[in-house]
Amino acid sequence: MSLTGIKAGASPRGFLSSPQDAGGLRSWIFSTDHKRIGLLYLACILTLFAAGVALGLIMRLKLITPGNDLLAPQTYNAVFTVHGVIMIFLVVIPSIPASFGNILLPLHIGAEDVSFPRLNLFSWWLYLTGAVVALVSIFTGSGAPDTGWTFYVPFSERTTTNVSVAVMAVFILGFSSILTGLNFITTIHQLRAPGMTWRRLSLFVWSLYATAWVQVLATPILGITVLLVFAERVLNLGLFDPGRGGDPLLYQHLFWIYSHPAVYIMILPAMGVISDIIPVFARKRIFGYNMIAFSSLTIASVGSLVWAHHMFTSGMSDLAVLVFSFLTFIVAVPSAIKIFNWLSTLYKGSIIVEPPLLFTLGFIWMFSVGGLTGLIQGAAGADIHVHDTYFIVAHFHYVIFGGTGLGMFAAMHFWFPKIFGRMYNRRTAAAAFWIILLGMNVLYFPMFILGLMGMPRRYYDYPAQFAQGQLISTVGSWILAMGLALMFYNLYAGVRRGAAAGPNPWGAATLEWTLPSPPPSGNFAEIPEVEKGPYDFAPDPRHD
Amino acid sequence: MIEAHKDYAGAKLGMWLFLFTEVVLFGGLFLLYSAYLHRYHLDFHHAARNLDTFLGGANTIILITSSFFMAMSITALQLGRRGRCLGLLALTVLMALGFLANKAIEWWAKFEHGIFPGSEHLRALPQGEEIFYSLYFAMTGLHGIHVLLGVGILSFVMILVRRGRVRQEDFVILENSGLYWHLVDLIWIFLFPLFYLIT
Amino acid sequence: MNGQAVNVVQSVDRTFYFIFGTSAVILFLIALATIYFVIRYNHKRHPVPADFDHNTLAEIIWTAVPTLLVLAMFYYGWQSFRALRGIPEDAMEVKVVGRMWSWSFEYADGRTGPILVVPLGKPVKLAITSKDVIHGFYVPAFRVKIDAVPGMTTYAWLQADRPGDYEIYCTVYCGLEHAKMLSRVHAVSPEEFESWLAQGQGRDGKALLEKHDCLGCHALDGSKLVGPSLKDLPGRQATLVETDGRERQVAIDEAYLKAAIVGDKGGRVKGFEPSMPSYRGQIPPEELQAMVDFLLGRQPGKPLDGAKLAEEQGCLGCHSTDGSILVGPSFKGLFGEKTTVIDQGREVEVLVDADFVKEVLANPGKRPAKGFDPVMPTYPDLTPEQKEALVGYLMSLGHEKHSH
Ligand code: HEA
Ligand code: HEA
Ligand code: HEC
Ligand code: CUA
Ligand SMILES: [Cu+2]
Repeated sequence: MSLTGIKAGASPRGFLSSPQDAGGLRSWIFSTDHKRIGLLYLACILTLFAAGVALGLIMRLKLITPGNDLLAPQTYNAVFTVHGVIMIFLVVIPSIPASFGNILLPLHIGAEDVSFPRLNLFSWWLYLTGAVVALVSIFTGSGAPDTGWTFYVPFSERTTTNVSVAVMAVFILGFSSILTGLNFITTIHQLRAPGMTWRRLSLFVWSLYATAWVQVLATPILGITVLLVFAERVLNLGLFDPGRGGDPLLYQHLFWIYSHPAVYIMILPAMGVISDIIPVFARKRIFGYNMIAFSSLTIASVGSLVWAHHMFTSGMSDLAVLVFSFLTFIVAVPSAIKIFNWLSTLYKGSIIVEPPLLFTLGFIWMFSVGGLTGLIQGAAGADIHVHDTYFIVAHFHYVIFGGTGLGMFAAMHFWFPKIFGRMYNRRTAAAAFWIILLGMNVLYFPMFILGLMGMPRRYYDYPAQFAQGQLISTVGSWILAMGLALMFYNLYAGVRRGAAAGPNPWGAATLEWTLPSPPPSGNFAEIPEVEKGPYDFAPDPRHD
Repeated sequence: MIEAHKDYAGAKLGMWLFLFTEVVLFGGLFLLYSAYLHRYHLDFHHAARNLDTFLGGANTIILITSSFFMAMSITALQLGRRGRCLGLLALTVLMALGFLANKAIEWWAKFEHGIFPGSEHLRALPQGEEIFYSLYFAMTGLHGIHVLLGVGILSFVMILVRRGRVRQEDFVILENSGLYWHLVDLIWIFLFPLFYLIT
Repeated sequence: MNGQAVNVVQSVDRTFYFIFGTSAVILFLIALATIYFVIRYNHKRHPVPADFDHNTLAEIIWTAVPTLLVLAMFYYGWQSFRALRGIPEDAMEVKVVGRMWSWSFEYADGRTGPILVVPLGKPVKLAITSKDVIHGFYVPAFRVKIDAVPGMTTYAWLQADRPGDYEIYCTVYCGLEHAKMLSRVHAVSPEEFESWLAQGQGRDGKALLEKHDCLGCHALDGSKLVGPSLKDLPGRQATLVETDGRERQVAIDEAYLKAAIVGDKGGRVKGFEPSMPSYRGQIPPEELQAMVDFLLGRQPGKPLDGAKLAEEQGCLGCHSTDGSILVGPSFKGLFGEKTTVIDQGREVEVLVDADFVKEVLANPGKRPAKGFDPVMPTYPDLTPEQKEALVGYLMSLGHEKHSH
């Protein structure tokens, strides 16, 4: 076993300030070190997340009572659009792969860096450009875009708001995502350390691999779709304009051919994180490694075939509804498999309850709620009733925030000591978790009921019968806000003043924990020779 | 875009993945094309008659030839004949420019006839024909942009070859640019019959 | 046939109950298992973990069982979808048109209205389309939802079995007032429905003029009888002589005609004796309307009421009639006034007259009003009569302003 990659005399702050470091901002924004790029992403994503949730909070305030005029109708319409665009394209799609994926992928496979470090930096610059263009679209032109994040034609062709700039932002962000995916696939194929066979890859890497394929295969469709919206508006192309023989349904198909797989771009990496965390805190090898790895690939591939379940009411043929409803149900099975495998990993383990595990349990609960309600929407007849109502809004907040969001928070708490070499306050972290969990449910659960009662989404105002649910939901958003604020404060305090964490505070077995925390710039002093799997815990588990 | 890397296989893999995304990018348009062809079969048929098969055919030949030169330039460098490689690359770029000029003439003629996206003339035509032209401009336009990018990339590679950054022992950049150029060619080979030959 | 709607709703709801029930059980078990494991296998209580990492039988079970469950869910979902889509043969068809931001419903006889009136116990087939962008037609009470797509007709059906009003929402985001694109299904007994429909049909203006004995005094061919001829009234001015002998000119519009019929126009028409009886309280408002419509030259048999048309066409979604600004300028006091428009980038003052209104309807983007987004849709389908009616309506609203 030559897993001792500790660089002699490595600076205690590792890659955060490596010896050859000139210091300053430039050494970050032009660094090709995957860990630095990952942290850059993380910083941007969290900033934009703060912006996005602030908009969410504002929406909730506006919706607190019917007839409330905190926001003008047009403003509300712009706010939910911008909220959706920021959250989807700038936060959750890049979230885990671009930040933790970048930081950890080379560490997990025992490599020096990704295959194309400069391309990696370029992706980040593209991301930044996309973010800036998106912000520009909000503050210039004749008003922020007001189409919803879906940019449905023909409305998006006609509205006078700044849609053209917004879709260009999406186009640029799409390319950033593609290049990241391409980089990851190549890295996983080419740069595995000796002995790092496919079956010794961590499940996080497997999930990144599956995600990367979706990114590479699906995102170009989004690219061309938004380019066409741009061309429709700017060059007057008329390909989707029903008045000129175009068919708006084709737009929806193109959009969802990307955007459904995109939800797996969002969730797969989170599932990978969960699969990596559970065995560590159960002190037990992951149950059903093959099944979990394989189910990621199944989700990625079958998931590409279900897009039109977003269009059951669009007027497409009944046959299409039949087929897409069926496939939607099929793709739910691999998710179920994962859940059961995780449970079995906990079964008869020796469980240590730490903040990362709490967030992981939160993920399992919240994602199950979101996923199971997804089944309602997959059922053709039931979806007709709930489509475009608050039921959908509840569903995707549960899977995205409850799933990807909590998965991301779990990752943040799990790898925090590795990245910063310090530890946050664990009790505060646990408290923040429970507040977040409570807030999330008070915020989003009433939305299911509102949806079943028939409240449509994207309404700046609503009839009185929905008032109660909306009120409870708004109160929930405050609880959630407190929880989030506490969590971020605690992490921030940890970065500043946390106690030194040591190389392996959790007793985990993947490669990155063999390195000092934070890891040095070049990662492994010598490329490690891998002789065991990622979850092979020492026979005598650590007690504390 | 792909940098010099010791890992040849990796660089090639990355390039292939990139080409794949390009294919999918155009794939979206091909999907639209087939959906509309299905719906407006006759209109497409009529509209296609107005395209100049001669110009289109000439461009096809130009591109295929240029692809051929491109391949030859790679072989030349592999054999260590740098001058010949540069010459062939120059020819490729010239042909690409020729393609663009030809395309410009073709588009210009269409504009002269009042055929451009959203024009009065197009609106007066049956809807299917207007859709056909919209697709024509979108797809050949996007392809044209790719040709233009190709010109940029190949000229850049020429500089690298001249400076010796790309050489007999390390020519993966040239090879990848070649792959890109073949893709541009390939896409045109699909576009040509779809627009010019479906009458 | 009776109870069809109930069946559809039941069928959809059964899907819900089945999936909810199954999911609730699964969720409960999952939550229970996690909590139990965390407590039971806590490292303090269970220091040495078991060493196993797969179990083929278990894995097969939890692949197979969810698969069977989801197949059952699929089956129920599809069954209820079929029920929603299976439009009965004998259904009565109603055309539904969505536009920014209102609905209009048209019945077989051409009668239109902003709410959907349906007879109890009879299936109603909805043929739905849109004039501008995509809208979503949604009646939660009937579990019915389908998009209204421009350039395409989609179908849905519903059947009411209990009288009452049921909300209609627009579910596809369609711009500013998406949240206010509301209407309702008004379910009434078949008899009520028949008489409601009949009312619509009986509004033939000419027949009503006969019924109310107008034609005894007024000719329709231009000749002068006891009263002035009622031919070619629209667009003309009437000269009234007031009791004190002063003369004044009044435009002949809807308000004027209605006032004239109830004897309220304030003076007599020059050259005639004030011998017309007042009809106040004698003519039901619909009939009055129908007669006026007829007199204003709106299509016979399909009477045109500017106000109604403005509502149906969605004008009132954007233009208020009370002076408040919605999306476009308010109609109140608009007609006959000067307004500032943007003509090829320059600001110009124009008079809002009949011609200008017609121009706006045909091409709103050409000279948009200053200070407003040029979002008004074009109305290519309006007939000249309809345009005339809208002009008349605007005129009537403009008129009010001058009077105070
Ligand atoms: C992270 C993102 C994410 C994820 C993972 C999912 C997962 C799923 N989604 Fe969701 N979805 C969205 C994000 C996501 N979705 C978004 C953003 C929208 C709205 C877009 C918009 O319109 O704006 C949406 C909308 C949406 C619709 C369209 C609804 C409509 O507009 O009418 C549908 C319809 O089928 C659907 C279905 C599903 C299904 C079946 C899954 C499945 O993959 C879920 C699988 C998971 C489980 C099943 C739970 C875990 C398993 C168990 C607890 C074991 C037991 C299980 C069984 C017995 C099967 N989703
Ligand atoms: C990642 C995805 C994500 C996340 C996290 C959220 C988070 C929230 N969203 Fe979400 N939402 C979407 C994605 C997301 N949303 C999408 C895609 C849509 C569809 C848009 C469309 O229709 O086009 C949508 C739509 C949507 C609607 C429906 C609008 C409508 O249809 O009319 C509503 C309504 O309440 C809502 C509310 C909220 C709220 C209250 C939160 C809350 O979670 C916010 C809670 C947070 C706070 C209250 C802030 C407090 C936190 C801090 C102060 C911490 C500071 C942070 C740092 C230091 C980093 N969202
Ligand atoms: C989608 C909203 C919308 C609908 C529906 C609509 N309008 Fe308008 N209308 C506007 C807006 C906005 C303007 C100002 C900008 C413009 O002129 O295009 C306007 C301008 C006008 C004007 C000119 C006012 C001025 O001061 O210049 C008239 C007259 C008018 N509309 C009449 C109608 C009639 C009659 C209908 C129904 C048949 C109708 N509109 C339907 C939005 C609408
Ligand atoms: Cu009409 Cu929303
Ligand atoms: Cu989906």
